Amino acid sequence: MNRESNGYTFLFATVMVVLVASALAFASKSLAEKQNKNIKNEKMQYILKSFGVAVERDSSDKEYKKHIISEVVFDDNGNEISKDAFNVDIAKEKGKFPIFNAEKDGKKFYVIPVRGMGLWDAIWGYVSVDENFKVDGIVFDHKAETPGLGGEITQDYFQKSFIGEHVFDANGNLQGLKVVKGYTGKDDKADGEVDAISGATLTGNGVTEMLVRGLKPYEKYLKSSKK
Amino acid sequence: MADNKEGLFSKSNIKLITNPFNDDNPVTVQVLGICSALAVTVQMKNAFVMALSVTAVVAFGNVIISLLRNLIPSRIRIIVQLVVAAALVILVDQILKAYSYDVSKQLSVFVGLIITNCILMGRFEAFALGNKPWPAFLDGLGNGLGYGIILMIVAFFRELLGSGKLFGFEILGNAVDKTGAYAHGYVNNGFMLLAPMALVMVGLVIWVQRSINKKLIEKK
Repeated sequence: MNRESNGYTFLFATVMVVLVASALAFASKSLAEKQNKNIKNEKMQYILKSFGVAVERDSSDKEYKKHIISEVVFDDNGNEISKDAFNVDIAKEKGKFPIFNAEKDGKKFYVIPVRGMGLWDAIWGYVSVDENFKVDGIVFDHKAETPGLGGEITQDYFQKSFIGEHVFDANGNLQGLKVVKGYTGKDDKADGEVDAISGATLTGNGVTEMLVRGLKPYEKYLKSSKK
Repeated sequence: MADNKEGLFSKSNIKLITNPFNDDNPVTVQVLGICSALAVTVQMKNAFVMALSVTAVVAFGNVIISLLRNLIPSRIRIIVQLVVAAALVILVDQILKAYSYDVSKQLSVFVGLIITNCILMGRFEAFALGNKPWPAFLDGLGNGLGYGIILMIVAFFRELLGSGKLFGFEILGNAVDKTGAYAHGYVNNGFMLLAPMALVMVGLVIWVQRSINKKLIEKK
């Protein structure tokens, strides 16, 4: 057959596309289980890390069962709609607010997932507060922030700076957690505020927005659970 | 080019691997693959994995194109090359996600960017289409590694001067706790982390290379 004829060209293209498509579909299907397991284990790892339980990704499954006592999902009005918080994808399922009740060394924690926008793409995290709504730990991750600048939000020094801040102010109003630029005259910023990362103002703004908006729906639940 | 009687590691075959390191380097001489040299050279670890991935994709892509070289209709050869490159890159991405999740997270979008790496298409078009699989494999290997070495050089300076680390290890002390060099007032150069600095670094590498290797200098 003539290699330059139209018929041959069409034939070649068709065979190629079918072969490549089946090979990729096969690879994607056969690897999907392992990939999903990685993603799930990582989520458990982050939730555990937010209240100070450091585990390897592969063993996060076991520790998760040990430390998470209950899960609740509620809707806009604060009514409980499900007990399966882990499988709620807050990126896609609007109006569903999952929360995890955790326990470590006899102390209770609430773990709240948050999600927002950084400079380039999505950022997300898990905020862990104790019974007095003081932050016990926080974990952030991001999809595409600049390494060395916005990407630093995944670093320990930034995440640790949130520890000890209060989610509610002295009058019991939700203040969220804010990333604040500049020197305020004191080494420790006001309650609920942490030091920004130099060169990452926009990512920092995204973190602030995420934490102020993301914690709002939980105000009612947290307050009622205290009584 | 290589004929049947030639040994697997004959002089001309070895040249296919060694040439891209100096006389025919894809980044500094052919000026290909600059885009990814900007994106992944902030940290050495990323640069290293990127270099390995590109090397694997160019080498195997070259073999596939070379095997198909007598079948590919010349009118759609660019599309065929693109499909081969894209399919290999997606495979690499899927395998990383399943077996090396941390690395795949580090590289995130950059794995996909391998598809648009000009070195791939350049080698497919210029070499693999006209050569046997074995020389094509060596050529891909050489070019991938030649690209990688430049990436590593650029990343070395960017990570060291930009964040005081190499492969994530703190070389100059801790910038937050002010230890090591930072205790004496040293500060990181934030500009090193931004894309323009990668171009400046590549420029400096080209300058150094040409002052050593005079034959690369164009005659006026």
